[in-house]
Amino acid sequence: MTGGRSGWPSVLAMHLVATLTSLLFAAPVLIVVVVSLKSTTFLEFSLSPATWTLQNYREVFNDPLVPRYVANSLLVGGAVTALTVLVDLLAAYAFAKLRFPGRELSFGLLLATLMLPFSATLVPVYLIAARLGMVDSYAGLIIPSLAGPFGVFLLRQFIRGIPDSLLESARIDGASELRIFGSVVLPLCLQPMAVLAIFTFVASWNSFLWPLLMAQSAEMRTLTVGIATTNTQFTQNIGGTTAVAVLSLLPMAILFVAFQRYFVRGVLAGALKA
Amino acid sequence: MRRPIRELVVAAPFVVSKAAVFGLFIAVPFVYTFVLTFQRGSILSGLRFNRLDNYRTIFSDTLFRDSLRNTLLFMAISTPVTLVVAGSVGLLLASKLRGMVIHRTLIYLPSLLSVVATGLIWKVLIDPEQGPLQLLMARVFGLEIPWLTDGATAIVFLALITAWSSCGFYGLVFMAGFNSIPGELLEAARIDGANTWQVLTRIKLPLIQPVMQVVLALVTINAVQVFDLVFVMTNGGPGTATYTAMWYVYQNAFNGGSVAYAATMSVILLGITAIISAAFLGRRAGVDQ
Repeated sequence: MTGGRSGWPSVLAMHLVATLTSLLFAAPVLIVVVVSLKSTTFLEFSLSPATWTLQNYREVFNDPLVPRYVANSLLVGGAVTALTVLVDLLAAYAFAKLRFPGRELSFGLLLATLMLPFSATLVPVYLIAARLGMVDSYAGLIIPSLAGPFGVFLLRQFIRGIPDSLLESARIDGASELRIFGSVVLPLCLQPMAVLAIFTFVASWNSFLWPLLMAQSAEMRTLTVGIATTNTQFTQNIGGTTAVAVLSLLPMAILFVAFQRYFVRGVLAGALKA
Repeated sequence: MRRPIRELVVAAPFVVSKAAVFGLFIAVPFVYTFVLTFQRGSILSGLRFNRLDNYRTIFSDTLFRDSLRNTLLFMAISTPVTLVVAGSVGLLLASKLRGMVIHRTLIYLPSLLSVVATGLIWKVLIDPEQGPLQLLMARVFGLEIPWLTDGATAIVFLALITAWSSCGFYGLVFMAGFNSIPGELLEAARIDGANTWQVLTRIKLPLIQPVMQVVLALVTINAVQVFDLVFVMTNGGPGTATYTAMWYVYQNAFNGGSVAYAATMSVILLGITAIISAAFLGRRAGVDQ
């Protein structure tokens, strides 16, 4: 396509632009990855194999809390993801395929909050969570994160595309709605469920403000909160800082490489939601 | 059983869980925020009604004014930069150049980082003694950039870091926009003798205007909520130069201020956000209806 009228000089120029752009975005991250794997400072940089080491990572994990932070992030991320997909899929089915009084109104309410910034509700959400005794608990880290409307919106769009005739024939066979949901709708929704799951896990893994408010004790901190609040201790040496930064990036990078297709789709769904 | 009741009984198991979390953690808090603005006191001392006092106080609060100004400044920098860079990235990614998957991965890399990790990475890069970027600027170009130590550069720097970390994401959004333009349209324009620039400005850009509006709205809404980066990099400083609106809300609500007063700030922020997104999305919503 690009060939058309443009000869090799413009193709070459495009490659150059693409490469420079990639460098602009990736170089800061890649430099930090390299620094994290070196025993020397950036000033004494050399490629000599003797200077490559995992020492920075060993030092980070010498802090007994760091594995705990990682475990908390995995646990909270896993629970938020599984529950979000389940709760949103159930609701999305009802909004897409069932008739009930107040359906339009309640879905309208849900939709209206799609672009509601968290800052608008932060203070009362905290007060409510505190009243329910959720502060400094996994419940507090997990349950309030399930409230958002995005998943319902995403899945409802998809379920609406499932032909009614498919559901009708199951109904005629005498299947209950829960059974139809489990045996007809759910198997058809695996793809958008995967998109939502990845989207949710990434958001949970990277989230900061809410877990910062919930984790009063060090044992409840997620990785982002842990590295931001014990920051000074790591920043005393550049090596430690780079290692924790890479540590928090690593799972996301693995997810991205493994599921790039779903990532791209999640991004697009997230943008088209508006 | 009457039909509406029977329908509700059937639907209830599906919607009850979502209704509970949504109600408790979005709908009720939303209303509660407004109620709070008419109260005073803290979590510890208990809340009492005081009518409009919070609003009266906040408009004569210079720190409030500063943090609002800082937020708007942040927005004024991050929004155009993100729009132009992400738009160009989207155009690049939508081209059928070979090896684009690798470029896409590399450009998206910063978008995978948490804001906390982003902050740490840039702190390392500009470290006064060992930071690679600092050394490059000082040794190669002879520039001593004050990065975060000068009030004026600090907020600009935070805005640029935010743009850097989100352009991969918005670039993909733009890419999808460009890809959705029918190929025949572009072909027809070329046959009519339009050059690359004309195709871009007369056909591509007008057609992706809805995408642009969405990106604009998202970037500005996110600018109002900047918090993590301030927490990791500047703590609001130097002085109050990076005291952003959300930082102000946080300090008031959770660092010894009044939750009611903090809620007042978030209502004003919500107002600003609503005006901005209405400005950017208004026309499009009108078309959709």
